[in-house]
Amino acid sequence: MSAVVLAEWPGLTRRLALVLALVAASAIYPAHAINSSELGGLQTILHEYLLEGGTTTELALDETESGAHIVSTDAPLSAQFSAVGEDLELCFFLRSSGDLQGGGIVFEINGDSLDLVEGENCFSLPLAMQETTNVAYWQVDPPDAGLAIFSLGISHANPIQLGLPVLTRGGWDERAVRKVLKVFAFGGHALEPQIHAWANMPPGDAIREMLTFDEHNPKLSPILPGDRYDDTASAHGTLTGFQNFISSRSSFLPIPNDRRDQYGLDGYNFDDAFNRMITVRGMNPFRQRIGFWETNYHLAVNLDASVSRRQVARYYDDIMAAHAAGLPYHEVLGVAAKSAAVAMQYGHRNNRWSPWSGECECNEDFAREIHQLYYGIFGEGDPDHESETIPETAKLLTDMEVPYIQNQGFATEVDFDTDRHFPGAVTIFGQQVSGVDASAKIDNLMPLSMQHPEAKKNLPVMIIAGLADDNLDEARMEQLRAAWEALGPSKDFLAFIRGYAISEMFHSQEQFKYFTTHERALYMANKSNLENIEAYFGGAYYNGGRAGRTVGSVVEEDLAGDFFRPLHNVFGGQNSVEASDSALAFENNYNRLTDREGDMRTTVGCDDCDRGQSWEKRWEDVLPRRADGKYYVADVAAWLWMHAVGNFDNYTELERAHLYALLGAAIIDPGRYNDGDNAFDFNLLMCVILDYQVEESAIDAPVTEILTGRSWNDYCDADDGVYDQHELDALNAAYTGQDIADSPLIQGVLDELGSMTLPLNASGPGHYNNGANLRRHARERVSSALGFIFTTPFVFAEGG
Amino acid sequence: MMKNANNLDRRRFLQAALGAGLVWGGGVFPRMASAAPAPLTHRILVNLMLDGGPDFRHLIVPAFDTAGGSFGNLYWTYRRRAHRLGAGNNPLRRRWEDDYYPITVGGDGWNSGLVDAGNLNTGVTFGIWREAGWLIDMFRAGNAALVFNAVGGTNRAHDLSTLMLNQGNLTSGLNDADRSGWGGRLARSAGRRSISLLSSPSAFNFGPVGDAPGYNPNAIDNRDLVSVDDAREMGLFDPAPDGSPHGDFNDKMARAAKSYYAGLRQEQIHQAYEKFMDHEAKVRAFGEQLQERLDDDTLPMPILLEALRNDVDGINPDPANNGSTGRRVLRSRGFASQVRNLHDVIVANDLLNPGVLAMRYGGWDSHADQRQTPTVLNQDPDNPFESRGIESGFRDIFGGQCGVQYGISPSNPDALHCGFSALWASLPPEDLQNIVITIAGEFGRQIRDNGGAGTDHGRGNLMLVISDGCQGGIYGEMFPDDEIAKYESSSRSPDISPRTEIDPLFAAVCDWVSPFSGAAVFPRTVGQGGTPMIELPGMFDGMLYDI
Repeated sequence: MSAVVLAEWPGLTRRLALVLALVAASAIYPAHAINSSELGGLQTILHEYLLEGGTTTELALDETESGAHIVSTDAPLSAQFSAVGEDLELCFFLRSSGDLQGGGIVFEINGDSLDLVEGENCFSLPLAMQETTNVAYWQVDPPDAGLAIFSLGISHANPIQLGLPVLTRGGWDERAVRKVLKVFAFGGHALEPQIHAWANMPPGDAIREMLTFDEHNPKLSPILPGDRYDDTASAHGTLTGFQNFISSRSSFLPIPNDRRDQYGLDGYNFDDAFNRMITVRGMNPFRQRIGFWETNYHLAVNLDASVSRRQVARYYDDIMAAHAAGLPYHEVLGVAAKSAAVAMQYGHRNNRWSPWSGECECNEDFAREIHQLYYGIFGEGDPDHESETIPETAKLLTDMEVPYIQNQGFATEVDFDTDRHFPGAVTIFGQQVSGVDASAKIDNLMPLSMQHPEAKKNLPVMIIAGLADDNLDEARMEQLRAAWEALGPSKDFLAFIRGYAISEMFHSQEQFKYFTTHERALYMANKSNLENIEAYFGGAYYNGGRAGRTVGSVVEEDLAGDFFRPLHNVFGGQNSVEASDSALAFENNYNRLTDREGDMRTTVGCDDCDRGQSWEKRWEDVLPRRADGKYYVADVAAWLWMHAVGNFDNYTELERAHLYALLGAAIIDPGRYNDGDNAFDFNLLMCVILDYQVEESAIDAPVTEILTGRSWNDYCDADDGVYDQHELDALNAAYTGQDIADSPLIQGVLDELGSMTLPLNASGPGHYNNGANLRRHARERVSSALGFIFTTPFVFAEGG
Repeated sequence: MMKNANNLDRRRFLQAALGAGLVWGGGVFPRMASAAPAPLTHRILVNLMLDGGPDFRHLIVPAFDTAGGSFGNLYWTYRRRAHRLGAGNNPLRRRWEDDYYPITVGGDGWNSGLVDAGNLNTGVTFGIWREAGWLIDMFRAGNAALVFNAVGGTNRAHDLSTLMLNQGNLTSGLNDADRSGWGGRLARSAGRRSISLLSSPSAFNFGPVGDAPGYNPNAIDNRDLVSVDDAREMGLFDPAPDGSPHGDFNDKMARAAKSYYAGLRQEQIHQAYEKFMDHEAKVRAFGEQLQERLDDDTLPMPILLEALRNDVDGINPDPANNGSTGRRVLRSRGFASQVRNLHDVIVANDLLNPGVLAMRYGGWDSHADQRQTPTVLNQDPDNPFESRGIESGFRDIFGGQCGVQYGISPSNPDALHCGFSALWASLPPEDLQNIVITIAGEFGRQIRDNGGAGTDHGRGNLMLVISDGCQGGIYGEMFPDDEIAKYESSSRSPDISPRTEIDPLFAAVCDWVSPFSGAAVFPRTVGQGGTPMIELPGMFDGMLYDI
């Protein structure tokens, strides 16, 4: 719906009359709840009000205007909408050029004056407070002020999707967007403006953009502007295609030619090829999130179990193509069940029906797991499950040969034949399943399986427990089952995920999800890498330089099982609870980011590793800058925390202190090579300050003075290898948030640090090496600060 | 309703007084330094979980019998493919005679002192796979209880049965993952720690909420749980205590992280993040102590244990390679690491105070090719790199002097040993007297093999209890008569009928480790929540005794 101009607004007289009439009959309710009462003659006044001028627009339920309204002194705005018999929420996005708190900018709903903020504004209107016709009104009095109103709309205040209560537009914010990205897209690659845009959209609209099954989702995974490795923006979006691309010597990549073969379908490093598919920008991390879960957990196959790389790639691509085509979920599962990878994995490629003996020369492995693992059907309470359903399913899975092709190995497709296939119908779940071959029978079985009571009970829980929630209780499981049932007999998997991703259940305090090693490694890589050179390098040392964050070595060191070599074979990879219980995973992460902190800090540039050119990590392109063009430590610290953690729940004095020190406290030595180098940790900084106070008999603590020039290491240093006690105390102190909050000294230090700036774009002859060293040191401090965040507990889980 | 409000104050501070003047130090764990191995002065349980459902009917078999309809005939006839045997009786007989060490209950090979509970098996001849030399030795010495027809999971689904077995709770459902494990309950009852020797602990280790004996078994509190993936490498990187603090970035980051965790510990964070605080505290504290104790120079890994995982000169050289001076002994390096780790935790038991220790060995889901016979093994039977199907696992765990055909090949006590055999040879007898090992998988397998030369999921199975304090022998009917009819029945998936549930078996083990703990760990044994099945009432009374 676009804005409609009904008439010119003559001034304030009529509006005031209306407001007075409304206010006279209204009580003031807190928290922007709009009061209401029966107002005699209101309709008449409203009619006049609307007819006499101004810009007026009509709002319809669940529609958001695509255009913008400009409100100025001469052009107020009113929006009217009818009561719809339920609680409503009115939202709009606001940009102002005046002082919103100054009194000259007025916003009212049905006559109640309400405060505005820059950005998105949402107001709930309970049914009891609505009128037959409701009016929202914006007015600007100061001549130099103006408002721009975007995305104006009304929607349900208690929206339901698939039976699940979902967030309102007011409840859907940046935190919610980041949570979805963190859990469902390994963090994604979306840039800040896109995250803000999604946060300011109705959640249903945003989630449709965020979570898609297309091979490419340019909003979720944009190429950083100026990145020259942009081929993946529109091509190579399948696993097979990506492996062919990344291993080809003709591809334009920063990986040396002689190091590419390993990533191909016949290379040995399938693992790192796949994790690069998730960290390289241009494709679709959500698609890969689901693909990883399907092929490594739900429908797991294993490269260590006779399944070839080509079969795995084909398996992955076929499943995801089925998802992308929007096939009902039982058909997606049918694609998996008919694959060569699964026939190799479980060995039923050798299952034969013997017409001579009347016996099934079979194993029952997949005959059981096609029910249990695919659908959650255990045969609970079914006396015939073991004696009939499973042996009969084994008969169904006969004559599914995977041909061996000379010099190529086993084929990537099953040859469904009939000679040794059980010719008749089989009885599964007490129902006849017929079909000329195994393929036809699988097609006929899948819808029956999806409608099995155990599948209805277990499959939706398996999906959400596997992807997003380690703390489901029975009540929430019931909600999921109801949502699944609401999809009808043809389950739209994507609709289910989207509905859940914007649900109050997912965004509640009760939800939390531990990250598996794979998820955490990928998330940290996605939060650390900016450009595709970093993703392609993936922490490797190529061409004389190192870039990017490793994934594969994290998985390997944690003993978490490689991608496509799941720890529990067909029962899937390391699960999230196992990961959370792994002291080894914690220990490795901690030691990697401390003992080997250089992997994080120093991978911010190289002389010629980018196909012979120099490369600098582009923190300056993403970090927040103030109007003066500078990067303030306070802003960068908060940005990094939000970027890496996704919310500010645990961003307190404690975190602030450590980050400010790592970002801000460095040598100040203008014009010299080490200007900006040698950042200080918080304990060391406090040690230096306290030692300075002792040595200089000072009571102040001017950080900039202490760290300047050649005095930066004069304090807190062991004389003859021996520290003074006050130095040791400071170095070993365990500062709590309370200590930090209560200490005027520390607060002063933090104020000073927070107002320092990071010279990320320093240049010019006034700096050593034209600023290259200074820029590098600034980038290193940013990466170190991010590394510090990665050591905290808050990268191991999401939620709560 | 407004949004976009940052919440900077959500995390509550704990008692402010706690936060004042803290230093990070050793924290909550006592510090005890010593360079010598500590004698094991209390009893411990070592539980080995065999994931996948092991076919113990492959390890311990009935004697081949030509008489049609006899158990010994039906077994071999219907397991011909799983043993990879050709047609006719001769291959069956040869396999039996060559590869299984025969013991007749009360007769040949049956040592005095062995128990046949209820005399259910008098005169029955069975065989133990000859390469399981350590098991044969332990059995003949009266230190191994073979518990037949036991069941740890009441269904044929891996994940659910595994959960039941690890939790020691046959009533658990798939959604009951938040219940404690029987190892964790035993550790709590014993007032000791629940140690996982794995990179990630299983449900077996998870402790209950509250104190014994009145704890809540249906919730988890892992305060006793310590994961020791590698006792010699465990620990968090620490800043150097005497280096210059200005130039070393590693130290700076380590100091920042250490200080941060110490500070954060004084604040209350959401439960989702508590585990990681726990890891930080335990890995830091125990890592420091273990590294001090287990220094390779002062307390090197015993050579037989070192050889399980790494090449050691003189042990298991490759006969096809003149340059080879030694190869690792076990096929599974993971299991080898666990055995080494088990040794280290035992010799450092004064630091860790272990009550239970958990191990696992996977790969038992043998739907196909459960016995593999690579020809290279004819010349090189100790080749650790060739898969032999489930026999690789049996060898790694139970093998005495690896490759030796017990009772046929000459033995050499100085030669290589497989897993537990190497441990037994590396610990003093006084320590061994305080160890009990339980070995079980989540379910058994069907009694007939399948078309893939493997076996499909079943229910009942053999479980083992091994200890110097064990009254060794046979518990339960080895080859039940009622199975005979199953072999040739129309039943499409015949298996071993369960007769004994884990509760009374493992409760007896618990009572040995920590007196009177069995009832709390397995409350069904005292009638709480049902009555567990047992083949002979009181069968396990006296199965373990004071030495």
